[in-house]
Amino acid sequence: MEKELSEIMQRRFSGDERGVAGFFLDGPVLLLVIITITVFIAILSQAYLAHREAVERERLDDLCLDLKRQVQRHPEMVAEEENRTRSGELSVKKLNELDNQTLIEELDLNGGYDFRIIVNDTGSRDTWVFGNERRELEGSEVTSYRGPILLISETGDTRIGELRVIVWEG
Amino acid sequence: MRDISRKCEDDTGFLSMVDASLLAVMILLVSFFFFHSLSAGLFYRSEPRRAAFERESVKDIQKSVLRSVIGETGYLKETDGESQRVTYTNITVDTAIKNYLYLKNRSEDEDAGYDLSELEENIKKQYERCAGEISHYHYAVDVEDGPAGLFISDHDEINDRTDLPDQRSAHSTYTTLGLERVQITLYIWR
Repeated sequence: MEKELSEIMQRRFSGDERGVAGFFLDGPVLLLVIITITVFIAILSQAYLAHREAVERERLDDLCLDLKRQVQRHPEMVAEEENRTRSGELSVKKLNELDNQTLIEELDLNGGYDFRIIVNDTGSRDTWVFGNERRELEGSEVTSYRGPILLISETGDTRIGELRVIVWEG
Repeated sequence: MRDISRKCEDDTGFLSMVDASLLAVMILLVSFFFFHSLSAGLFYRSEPRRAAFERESVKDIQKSVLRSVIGETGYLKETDGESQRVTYTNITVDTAIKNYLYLKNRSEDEDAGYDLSELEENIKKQYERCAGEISHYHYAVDVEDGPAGLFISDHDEINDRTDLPDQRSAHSTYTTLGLERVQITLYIWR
């Protein structure tokens, strides 16, 4: 009995690595390791994609708000009074004369993004649309801002209009 | 004795399986919660998207409304049982608010009564158009001028500042009435 015990003790503390080899060769454990690694990679990939999407959405939001501010003070769009621009008040005359291509070139979105600006006169129902042609946007990220803006008519009347800015990845 | 030693080896193998399973589950749980938090923006986004858009909207609404023009409005002055209508044409909302406060203050000092409901209704309409119809926000406007203030909201249950919801954006601007500075605050929420 003593001999048996000493044999066991010797096997346990003498660097016997038969168990280690058995562990890795064991089918269920190997399967478990593979599943664990696969699920881990899946979680990691999903988190990375969601993170990238959040970053992209935030970038689009920033661009959208920045574009909206550019429109509100763009010299080719805002009304003037005694040679001073009236920020946040768009001139109907200027909107009628504004060239779309020139506006696209002037409003810089740092490349890779398209936009559309829609100004709607809620009183007369006139609508001005500027920006890029909108292709099918299904599945792609889009950000839009909608708010009131003042429109100064050619006769000098002030009317409330609606400004809509839409930005998407080009 | 041989049987005991074999049993001991079998237990070790079984425990290894349990250990490996527990470790795998723990790794998956920890990684799931960590990456889920990461993807939900817990560690990245310092400013919620909604708040940034609301802050921009509240400024635009306030600016547009105060500079917008009311085509025709007025009030009724009642003295000695007679009613007289005073009409304003093409006045800005900013001026309409100042007139409202001025007349409200006067009605408390004089015997004459002023019916300012039309003036108040027209101011409210402009806010309703910009905040409600165009921007799709609920709103409340709070104008402070001593005892004579003005509080407008599209919600019947909101009658003063204490009734406002916690999640809201606000923008204050100042105008002058006489020599006094008057604060006009707009609150919006969804």
